[in-house]
Amino acid sequence: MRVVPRRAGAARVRVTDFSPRPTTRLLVLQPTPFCNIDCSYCYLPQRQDRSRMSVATVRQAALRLREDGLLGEELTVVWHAGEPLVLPPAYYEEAFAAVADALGGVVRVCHAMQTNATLIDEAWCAFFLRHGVALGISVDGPAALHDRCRRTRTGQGTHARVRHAIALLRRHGVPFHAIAVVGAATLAHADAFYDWFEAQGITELGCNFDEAEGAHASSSLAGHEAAHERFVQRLLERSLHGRVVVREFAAAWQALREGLPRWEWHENGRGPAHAWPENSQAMPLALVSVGHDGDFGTFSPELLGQPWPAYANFVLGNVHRGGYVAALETPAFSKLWRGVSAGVAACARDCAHFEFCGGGAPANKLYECGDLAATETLHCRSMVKRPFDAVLRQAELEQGLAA
Amino acid sequence: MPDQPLRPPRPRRAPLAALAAIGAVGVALPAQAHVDTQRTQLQARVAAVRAALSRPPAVIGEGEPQQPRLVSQAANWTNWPKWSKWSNWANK
Repeated sequence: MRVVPRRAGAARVRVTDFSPRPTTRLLVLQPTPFCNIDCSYCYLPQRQDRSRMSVATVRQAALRLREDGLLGEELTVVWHAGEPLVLPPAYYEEAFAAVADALGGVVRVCHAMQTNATLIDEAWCAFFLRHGVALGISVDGPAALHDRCRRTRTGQGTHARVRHAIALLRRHGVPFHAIAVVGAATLAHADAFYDWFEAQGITELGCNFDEAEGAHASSSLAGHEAAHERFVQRLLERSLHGRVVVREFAAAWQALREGLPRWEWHENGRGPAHAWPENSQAMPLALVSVGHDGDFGTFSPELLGQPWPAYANFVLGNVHRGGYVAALETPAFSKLWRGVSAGVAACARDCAHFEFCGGGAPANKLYECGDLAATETLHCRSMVKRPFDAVLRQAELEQGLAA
Repeated sequence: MPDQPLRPPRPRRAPLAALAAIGAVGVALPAQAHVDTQRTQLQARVAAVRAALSRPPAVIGEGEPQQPRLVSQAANWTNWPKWSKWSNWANK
């Protein structure tokens, strides 16, 4: 192995170095680090911390986007990390009003919540309907799979409570999607996994594969990648003949059919442009994450607040003291961008799938390889490459192109 | 007669400055030709599929054109919340 030395020095980054000018598509607000349950694969380090984001911080987080000219036509605000529903609907009534007030109707806003579903009741159903919340529930399929990892702090499975919540959502006509974490135990049960979601009437399913991240240091999928490939293939076969849309296949289909739009970065504001396919985890300020105390970061949302002294815990500023665009010019961002951009450049050079991905996930590079400048990760293989390859093979078969 | 070198000269390496431009640490540099071949093959496969998909579906017998399974199913694959479409990041 040859080792490439890191460049010394750090030029200041400016928003004008990027083309088109960055816009924020997803604002991730962390209303509280606290979670009422204790999943074994959770990456969050402070999920016993009951701090909450003040409404003033919510307002300021949204206002900074407007002041910084980061708004496009539509903004999604995701309330996430830890469990958003530990705060009551009354909190969100105020918080949503603060966002609307700060943004002043200049952008379409969609509020999204991802919840473990254990706290959903009648009042929450009414709230979701009243505000058109894009609701996602976290559920890993049948009880035997779900309750292995998704447990209370006393070790009790949460599946029964999730099923109760699903029944409530159905009764009230609240639309929702599901996100499951697929671990090694799931791989031999692709049919039971798919059947469960279909039986629940869930038609949109995202598969997050058990990732090594943050407080969760290793993935159960390591060493089981052949089985994972068979799982992906079987899931595709089922989704081709069933009602459940799997997000990873939908994303792969889109990349296969249309490709990804490109964006450019001019290093030091001049010189040849790096023209890369869009990947919001690797594009400055496309995703902005704000913690309960107003600290903010960008790139992979999982990074913010993770203990990593070399990158100042990925905190680039605080919404009460400065804006997002100004943070691009700080040494902290320069250092972070040097790593993230080196990682994207390495993917462009070393990965055949780069055109359909745009450079991987910085958080996974860091946690799996210890370096933002790394290339392929288990996350790449699980969530991008195998779904893409499966969809491509299927398309070739159907079009008579298979060798 | 000048002294003969004890060992043959070492083969030249790629200029370190060029490698440093990558800005990476501890990254193994794969055989570039192999990667380039893989990339070319994958892009050719994708191009072939796109070309095939751009053609009208085949008509079998006297019936309606037969849409392949993937194409017909994927027509329903556009309804995902946009925040998850933009990247493979998703909440747990």
